[in-house]
Amino acid sequence: MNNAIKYSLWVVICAIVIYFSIDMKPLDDQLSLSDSAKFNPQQYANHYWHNELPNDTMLAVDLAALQNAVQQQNLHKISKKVGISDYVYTFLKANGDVSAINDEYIFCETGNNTVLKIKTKYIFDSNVRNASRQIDIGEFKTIIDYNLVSKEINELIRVSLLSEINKQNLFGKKISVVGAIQIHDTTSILKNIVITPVSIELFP
Amino acid sequence: MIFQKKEYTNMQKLFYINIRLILWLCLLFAFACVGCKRSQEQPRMAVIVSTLNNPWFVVLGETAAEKARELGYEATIFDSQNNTSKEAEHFENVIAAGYNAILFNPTDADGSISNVLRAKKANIPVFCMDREINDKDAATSQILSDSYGGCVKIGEYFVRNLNEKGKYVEILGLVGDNNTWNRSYGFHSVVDVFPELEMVAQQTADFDRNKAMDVMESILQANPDIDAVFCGNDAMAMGAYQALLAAGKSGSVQVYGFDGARDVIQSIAEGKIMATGMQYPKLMAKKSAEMAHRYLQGNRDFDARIPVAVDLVTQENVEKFQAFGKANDNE
Repeated sequence: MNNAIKYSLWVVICAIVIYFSIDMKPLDDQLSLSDSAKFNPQQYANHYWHNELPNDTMLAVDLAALQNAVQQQNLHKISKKVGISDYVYTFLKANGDVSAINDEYIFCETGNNTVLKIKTKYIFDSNVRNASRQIDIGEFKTIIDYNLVSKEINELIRVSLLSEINKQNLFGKKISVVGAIQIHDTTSILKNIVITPVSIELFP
Repeated sequence: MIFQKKEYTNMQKLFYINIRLILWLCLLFAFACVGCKRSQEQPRMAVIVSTLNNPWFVVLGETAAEKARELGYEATIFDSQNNTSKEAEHFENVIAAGYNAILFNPTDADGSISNVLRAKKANIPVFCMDREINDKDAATSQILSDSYGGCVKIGEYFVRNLNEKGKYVEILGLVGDNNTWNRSYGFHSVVDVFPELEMVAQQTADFDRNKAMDVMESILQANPDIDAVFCGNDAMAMGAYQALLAAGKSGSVQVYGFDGARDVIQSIAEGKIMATGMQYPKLMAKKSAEMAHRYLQGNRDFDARIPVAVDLVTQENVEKFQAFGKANDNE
């Protein structure tokens, strides 16, 4: 009889301990919780586009400063390098006349022997992310997150900027463009500059 | 002549025993000093590589070990055989043996974190090469190919060559490796924008040439009318090409790889493969060894991640490249 009471008591104690040790919840709830902890590249890119991008474009160099840096071999002073690469990145601002338009580019004559090729179709590079002083690779948990930010920024360029522009209407007009460029770090002459735009406006 | 056996007193016996003991201790001490001197003179670096079954990783591992030796270290290469538990064993042995630094090519972005943390706990710096682990604080630094950027370039070239339309297949690498997804995401960030490009199959072949050949053979049975195949590495591109060759479709289906391996560079030059992304395993291996050396000299200022740019190699520019690097890279 004593043993029966003793064993029953142990069973009850064990049951209580096990009950309070295990937390059971539906798998879907748990999965959604871990999803919410995941990085949201779209949200990050949106925040960057609306809040941080102006800080980057404010530092955009003009063509004269860029040409000067290239000639003086001071590109590193006005640009950013990401990791180990032969390329540097910077934001550039320029004005010029639209001289031609094709499927992929708007060609803009700047008046000092430099033609700007403004990308309008193949917006897939990471030039904006790489040129940005606000986006640091060190802040991301994985390099995938860092890359997905670039993809989302490009999507914003396509949707928020390029879809709003009627390219054909720009022909012959003077425009003002700001965008990110990639330059080989040993470049000595700038003739054709391919630019990934973040802003295209009619010159007032 | 009569020899008389010498009788020793207890005191004498004790004295001889002690002398022997002292001699043994001196010998041990001498060995310990030699060992100590050896470890002071030649510290060691371990090179732990995910697999030596792929020439690309052989180049990565051997270059890292070579560079470590050049910098004055004793270097040993460990092959994890794409097996995380094998990798864990190597870490245990390396930590127990008192290596000074680890140059590491992980098998799994998540599964390898605990190994790196164990080394970190033992105050052994770990430098990841080429493959990433999903923890930005565990390794001292990670030197990684910009797989995403490289595959964006391949994607653009792919889209232009197919005139923005057609059916294609994607063969993925190891699903646990971030490079697999960075390459796939980079490629899809381009091709998915073009609605007339249709992916008819996407399968994994674990970065393995033979598996890729089998996968491609079975895909071709269900989809005989494909225009192109994008593979997550060069070994799989060669496997896919072999399957296409056997099916008599090598002339009509474009093959794209990623790595810059010897046979693919050769195949691009011969017009068999369309393009690949040139990674620089020698550069990454050398940088890792140099950084480990700097760490052991007291430097602690390292970026958590260092991406290494990837170049597009096509039939138009293949003469500028050689296996695993640029044509003018003679190091």
